[in-house]
Amino acid sequence: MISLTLAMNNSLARNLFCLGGSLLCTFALHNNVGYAQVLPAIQLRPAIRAAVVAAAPAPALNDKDLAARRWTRGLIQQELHSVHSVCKLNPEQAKELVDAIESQWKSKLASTFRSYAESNQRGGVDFEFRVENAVRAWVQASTSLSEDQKKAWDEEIESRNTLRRRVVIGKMVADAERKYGLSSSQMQEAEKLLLDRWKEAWWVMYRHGTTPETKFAWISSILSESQRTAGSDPNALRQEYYTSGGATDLPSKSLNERFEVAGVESDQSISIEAVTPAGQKP
Amino acid sequence: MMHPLFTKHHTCFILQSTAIFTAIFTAIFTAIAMMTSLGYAQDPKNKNQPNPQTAPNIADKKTEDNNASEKIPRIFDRNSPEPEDDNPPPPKNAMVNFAMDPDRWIDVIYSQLGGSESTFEQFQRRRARISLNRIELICGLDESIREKVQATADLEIQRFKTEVLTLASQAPRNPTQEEYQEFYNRIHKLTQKYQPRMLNKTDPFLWQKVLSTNLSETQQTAIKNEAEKRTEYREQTVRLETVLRISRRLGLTSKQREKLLPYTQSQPESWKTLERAWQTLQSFPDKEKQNLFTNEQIAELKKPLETTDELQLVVREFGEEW
Repeated sequence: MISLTLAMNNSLARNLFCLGGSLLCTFALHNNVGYAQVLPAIQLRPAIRAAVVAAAPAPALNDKDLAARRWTRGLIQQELHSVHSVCKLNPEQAKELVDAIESQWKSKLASTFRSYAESNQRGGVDFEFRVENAVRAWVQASTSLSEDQKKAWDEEIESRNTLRRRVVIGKMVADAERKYGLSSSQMQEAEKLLLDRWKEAWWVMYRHGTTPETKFAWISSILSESQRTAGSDPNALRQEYYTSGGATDLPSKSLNERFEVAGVESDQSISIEAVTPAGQKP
Repeated sequence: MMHPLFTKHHTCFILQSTAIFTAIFTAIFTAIAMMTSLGYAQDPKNKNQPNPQTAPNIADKKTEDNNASEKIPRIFDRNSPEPEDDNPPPPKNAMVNFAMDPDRWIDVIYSQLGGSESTFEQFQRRRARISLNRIELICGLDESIREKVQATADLEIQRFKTEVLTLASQAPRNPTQEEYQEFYNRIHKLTQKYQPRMLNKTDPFLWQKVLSTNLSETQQTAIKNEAEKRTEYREQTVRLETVLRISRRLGLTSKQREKLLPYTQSQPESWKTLERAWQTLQSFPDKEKQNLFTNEQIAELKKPLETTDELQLVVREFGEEW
C-alpha cells in the first residue's frame, strides 16, 4: 500500500490520504484549498471580537436605494440652509436641529427610500414633499426655536405652496384654453375658479408627470353659451410623451458627509454609517 | 489460551482475508481518488470549467457531440429542429401578405385622423366652431361671417372625404412591399394638413383664409393681441415651472425667488427648461450670483445637474393662432 501511494503523483497521494482520513480535508482538497485554510479558527479575545463586530459593514444597498438616500440628504441639507436663512438660527438652535435630524433622518424617511427602491420605472416618489414635511416636523418639535421662528418657517413653506399651485393651475388653464377655446380674460377667471377648487392631489399628480384634467363642469360658468354647446376640441394641439431619463432637479449629498447648518456640524457621537453599494465588497 | 478448534490454519486464513479486503478497499479508494483528480467527479457549479489537463479531450468530445446532435435528430426528440434565422429580406416586388380593398385603405386613412370618418368630421366642425366662438368673444363676429366660415369648413371636409375616396379607389389591391410603402407616403401627404400645426408646414385651412379676408383690420389686431396674451400666459407658466425646479435644486427662499423672476422675464428663452436655466445661472457674473444666492448655493451651482434614467414627461404644445 505504501509503495502504491509513493508511486502515485502528489495530488493523488493527497487525495488518498484525505479519503482515508477526514471528510473535511477531502472537501478542502477537492476545491483546491490549501491545508492552511482548514486549520481551526483562532479564538479571538472578547475585546477584539467586540471591535470586529462593531466594525461590521453596513448592509449593501442597491443603486436606487443609494440614490434615494443621497437625494434625501441633499434636500434635507438645503432645507437646513433655508431654515437658517429664514429663521436666523443661533449656534444652540443650529446644534439642536442638526443633531436631531442626523440621528432621526433614516428612520423618519425610511419609507421614502423603500418606496423609491421598490417603485417601477416611472418612479413616483415625491422626495421634496416628504422631506419638507419631515423638516417642518423637526422645526415644530424643536424646543430651542422661538414661536416667531417657527411661524416664519411656516410662511416660507406656504409661499412655496403658492408657487406650486400657480404652476399646476397654470398648466391646467393652458390645457383648458386649447380644449374649450378660452380667451385671455377667461383664462384669468378659470385660474381663480381652479384655485378655489385646489386639491393637494393635483400637486402629487403633477410631480408624477401628469397634468390634472380641467373638468368642463368646473369652468362652465365662465363659458359663453356658444362655447358651452360646442364642447371641447379633442385634438387640443398638445402632445405628451415620455423620454427615458434626463436631468433631475434633486440635490445630492454624500452619505459620508455630516449635516451642517450655520457652521455647526452634527455631533461626532452620532454615527453616519458608511453604506456599501450592492455588488461591491465592503 | 486458544480455543481447541481455532488452529494456526484459521489464523492464517483470517490474516489472508484481512489483507485481501484491505487490498480491495485500497483499490476502490485509489479509483475514486483518480477519478476526482481527473475531473470526472466535478462540482456541478464547475461543470463548464473542466480540468485544464483534460480539457482538450473533453472539449473535443463535446464538439463532436454537438455536431452529431445538430446533424442527426435524436430518436426521442419529436420536435423538428428550429429553422435558422438567416432568411434573406423579402424582395421589393414581394406581395404583402394581406389583400387591401378600398374600404381597408379608407380605414387606414381615417385611423390617423381620429378613428373614423364620422369622428373626423365631428372634430373638424368643432375645431372651426371653437375658433369662431373665441373670436366672437374677443371682437364680436357677424352671424353672416360665421355662417360663411362654417359653410366653408363643411365644404372643406366634404372635399377631403372625396379626396380620400379617390385615393382609396386608386390604391393597389395586392400591393408589393414597395407599392404599399409608396402609397402609404401618399396617405401621409394627404392627412398631413390635419395634423397639429407645428407638425405640418402646409397652408392654413380654407375656412381660416375665408375668416381672415372677412375680418376688419381692428378685429385682426384684437385677435393678434389676444393671442399674444394667451401665449404669454403659457410661457409664464413654463418659466415659473423652471423657477420652481431651480428653487428645489438650490433650495431658494421666497425672497430669492422674487429676485430671480425679473431675470426670467428678460431672457424668456433661457428659462424654458431646467438644463438651459442651470447653464444660464452658471454663466451669471460673480457679482450677480452673490446678490442672488448664498455661498452654499453658489458652490452648489458649480456642480452639474444629476441625471436619472427614469421616464420623464415631455409636453409639446403647438399653440393656436386663432
